[in-house]
Amino acid sequence: MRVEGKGRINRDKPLKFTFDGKTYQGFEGDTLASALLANDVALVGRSFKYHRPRGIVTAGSDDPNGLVELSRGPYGAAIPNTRATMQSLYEGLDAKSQNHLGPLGFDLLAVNDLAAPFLSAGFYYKTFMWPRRFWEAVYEPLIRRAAGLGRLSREMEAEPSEKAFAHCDLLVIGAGPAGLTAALVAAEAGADVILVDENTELGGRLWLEDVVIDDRPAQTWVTQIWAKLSAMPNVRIMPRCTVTGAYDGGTYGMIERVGIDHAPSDTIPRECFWRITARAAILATGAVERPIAFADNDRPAIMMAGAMRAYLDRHGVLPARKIALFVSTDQGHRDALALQAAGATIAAVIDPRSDATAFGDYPLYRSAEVVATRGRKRISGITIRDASGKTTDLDIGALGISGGWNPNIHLACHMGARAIWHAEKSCFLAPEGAVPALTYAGSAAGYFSTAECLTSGFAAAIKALSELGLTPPHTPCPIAPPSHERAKPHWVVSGKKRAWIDFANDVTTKDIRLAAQEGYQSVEHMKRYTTQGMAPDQGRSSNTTAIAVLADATGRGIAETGTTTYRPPFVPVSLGAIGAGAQGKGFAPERLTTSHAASVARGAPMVATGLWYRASYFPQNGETTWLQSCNREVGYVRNSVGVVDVSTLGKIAVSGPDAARFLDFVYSNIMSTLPEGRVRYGLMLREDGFVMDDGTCARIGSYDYVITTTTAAAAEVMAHLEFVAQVFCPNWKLSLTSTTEAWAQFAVAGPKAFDLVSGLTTGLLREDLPFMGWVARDVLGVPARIFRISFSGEEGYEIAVPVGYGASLYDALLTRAEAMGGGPYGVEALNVLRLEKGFITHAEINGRVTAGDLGMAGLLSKKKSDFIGRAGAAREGLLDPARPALIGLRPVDDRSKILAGGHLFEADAKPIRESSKGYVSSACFSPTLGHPIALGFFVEGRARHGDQVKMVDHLRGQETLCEICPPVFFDPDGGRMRD
Amino acid sequence: MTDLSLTPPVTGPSDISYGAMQIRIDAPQNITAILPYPNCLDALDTILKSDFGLRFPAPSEVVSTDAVRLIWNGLDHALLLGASAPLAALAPYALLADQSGALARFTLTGPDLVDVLARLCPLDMRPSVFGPQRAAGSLLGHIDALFVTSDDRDHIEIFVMRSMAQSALVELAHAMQGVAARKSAAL
Repeated sequence: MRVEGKGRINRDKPLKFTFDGKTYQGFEGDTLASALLANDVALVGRSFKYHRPRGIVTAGSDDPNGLVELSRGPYGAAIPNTRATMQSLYEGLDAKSQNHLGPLGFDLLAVNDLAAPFLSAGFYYKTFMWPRRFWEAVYEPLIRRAAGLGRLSREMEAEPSEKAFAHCDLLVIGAGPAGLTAALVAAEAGADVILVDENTELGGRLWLEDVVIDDRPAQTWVTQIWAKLSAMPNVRIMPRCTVTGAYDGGTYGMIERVGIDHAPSDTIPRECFWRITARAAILATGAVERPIAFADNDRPAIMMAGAMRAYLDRHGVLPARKIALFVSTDQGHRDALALQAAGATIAAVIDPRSDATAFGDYPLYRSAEVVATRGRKRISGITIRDASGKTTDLDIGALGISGGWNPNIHLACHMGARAIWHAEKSCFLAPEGAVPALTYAGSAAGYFSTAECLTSGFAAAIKALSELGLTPPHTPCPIAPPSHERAKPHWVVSGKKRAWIDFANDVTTKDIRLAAQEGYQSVEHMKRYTTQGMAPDQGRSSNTTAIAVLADATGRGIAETGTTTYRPPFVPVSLGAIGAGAQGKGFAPERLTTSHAASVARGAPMVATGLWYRASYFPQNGETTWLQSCNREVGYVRNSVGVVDVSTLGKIAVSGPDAARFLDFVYSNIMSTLPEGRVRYGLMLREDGFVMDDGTCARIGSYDYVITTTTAAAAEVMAHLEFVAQVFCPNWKLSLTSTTEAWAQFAVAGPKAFDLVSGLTTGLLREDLPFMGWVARDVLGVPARIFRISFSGEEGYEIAVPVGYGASLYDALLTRAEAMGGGPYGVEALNVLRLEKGFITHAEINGRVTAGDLGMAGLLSKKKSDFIGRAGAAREGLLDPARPALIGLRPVDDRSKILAGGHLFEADAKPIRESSKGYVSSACFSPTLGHPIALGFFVEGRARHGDQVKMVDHLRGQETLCEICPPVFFDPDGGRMRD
Repeated sequence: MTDLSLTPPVTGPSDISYGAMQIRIDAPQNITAILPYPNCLDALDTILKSDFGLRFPAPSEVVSTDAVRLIWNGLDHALLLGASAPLAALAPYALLADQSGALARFTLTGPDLVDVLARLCPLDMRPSVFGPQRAAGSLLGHIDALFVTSDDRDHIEIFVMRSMAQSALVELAHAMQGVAARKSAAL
């Protein structure tokens, strides 16, 4: 119910919303939880395991029960497990309750509650063990059906999210009295401050306190400090932000609620996931109230006393007209007074402390406990038992509880520290220095009075400023009257009925005692056996109580029992926010060649090669399969002329007086003898002796070389060369840099290639450009390099022009090629052409092969004193003659297929793992030869040419009898490309 | 007389605006990468000084005259922008590579510059850390990029590899759109 004149909502802005299809009204400034309570909706969902009716318990991000499904139509998919306590109300908000079969008020799965005696902790370990075959057929599907909270939408997510970075000198986490004081002091000292708070407003609990700060009401003080901070250019105030994790190097993760608190939009991000780097930080996250475990303490409208106060002072809402409070803190009594002043009838304050005194005119039950509750869909009454054992029944509409306070120390423990029990303050505190440069202040540091919060916030700022090397300002510490907060932890009320500890995962005191009894006495074991603390709320309200109950059950103290490990994230973070921007094309950048647009215009499907996109093939009218196009394109090159973009190959310029010496060191063969104007094939080994990459090296000038790498290994080779230059050869006079992006390069190959190339420049004679040579020429008026190299086995030229001219040159090349009966070819045809010639790619150089395996042992120079990989390649195992060697394969029956990835076996061997003798690395249909061909590796393969072996692809179910042959299928003496 | 034409790294309009922010795709200009050989910096500096009135930039530094700029681009690596003078005198002391077409250059302008870049780039853009006339290599989303500040805080140059220019533009536009949407809704 709404209370006139209370709360910080905007009553001039009513908002309509629906819950489970029914329309209600709230106001701007409401959360979904406060608006539901204002409309007397106490039942908001069903519990996880027993499907018991549940309502709102807290007023913060720690709420265990108020999880709803939030519709985000028409732009976004529905969001399950939305915390009603954090969700701001907006016009048209549409939410549904979760975890029930049938209507919320009559959940068919509530039958679980009747079966509770059989569903104790670890019941599935005990129950579903037999009969064994029932597990997959019956039990698992049943459990899957019943388990989990909420439903994932199957809709595509259209609402955007964001990721962002921020940097500051000081990150202040929490803007209550301690955080506000710390931020102000640090900001006045000149520090760049980011002040974050998960609420919509700064001030924290000061909005709920009848306290005076610096002779002003706390609320006035907050407003003034807020205004002051807002006006400072070095302060960034970030409300609706929850810091979710503390990481190395002063980095903090943070989730910001942006569009999610407003009607859906296709432009405003739903949430933003921040990564903040701070030189220092202050943890001023406050504390959360502890529930008390007593019989049937989970009924709707049983809430934290502080939450009742928060809903009243923030939203002008009372959960019921007649309220009782079961509290063991002085704060609970003050809350009772505030509720009473707002018009509620305080039916009773039940305080287990023997020295409790009433703060006002309400019935106080001293040394008493609540031992039973009544009501199904909301609480309707309680039974109180006093020290003498006398019981009293009361009819009420809501019950507030408070068993003390748990400081929010989770972030301080994210880097492995364990919380320490502080007996005097009756709470767990974080050890000092648990996160570098993170200081604790306020209730998070165990200071529960406003006066102490202010002084500890001030002290934390002074400490942080000293770490930042800044001089403290003359700002005085704000002052509040001292008060002694009396509180005594009250964990459990003894009794036979179930008393809930973890409302989110339906864990009771009985479950924890059973775990201890069955040997799960370590807190980490108890947690996993009972699932306490493993729900979306991460057990924030239940952990300490569970530890106290376990300590009692095992006869140890709380300090000895200890806590479980606190891990990020502090609150649930949606994957959509963490992965923001990575949907669709945002997943990875696209590297486009200068021929991209022309290739797409010709209908070429583009295939990703690393980040590059290359034309796969160029379909023509009448062609229905890629193979038809590919075969035609192979024909261009074998019979006329074909053009392919090879710009994606890595190009690295290496220059300097020591460049030749360096290349001799990184290649296995000799490059220093290469004359200017010539190109040489080269092999690079890794330090371990295996082949890293192959490519060409062209000598451009006396000190200047350009080497090429494969497309796949360009970055790896560049990093390798940088490493070798900087670490092994730091004083050698050379430099190197990638020039891949500076050139557009096209291969022109085929019997008519020279005719095409010579037509682009003036006076080029065939003898000017012998095989493995290069010349600098103007090509169609642009300075270019023409290399006579071939990856197809035909006479081939690669023309490199400054990249800006690439698109124009590609057009010119295609026009000329097509006039000669040729045309463009894609990477499919490129692959067939190289396979026909037995040229290798990274399908063969797979990281496990040696030069010897490839039949290239001759490229390991014996003349050089050293080169990278020389020692590694000389190891016994790498020289073993029984190693699998590169072979060619063709099927015995030309109609059969050979599949890359298939394993090779002796023809009469059983095709099992133990008898595998090799594998197929690449395979294709050769239109030139008219049958399938393949490259692969086979044990002692070079001595087996002519033998029959069996290819078996177990995954695709293919078995083919093949013949081993030399790996060069076409023009084995190379006359076509050389002459 | 060339028969080939130059194509810009990105096709489409050369200016894109969202809210108060604008991205301009700059026309290509002469860019030469200069990578001094070890122990050759002094000799190189002498020639740079006599030919261009500049010295080789220190890490993160940008040095410029009215005609040319030298931008630090990594370990022993600077980019010379705008030079049309012959560079042969530098060749004995450094690797020189023409990267004129290799880098696409964007200029991001507007009051929300830091907010837009915060969506894409992990660099600390606070003036106290990354002041005027500074250069730093970092990420623009997933893309390697060089960020160069000027004396105007609302203005930054971003260099990316030409092949990724289109993706970079999509990333920038997406970030600008998000920031503009937030500003217009006062979020």
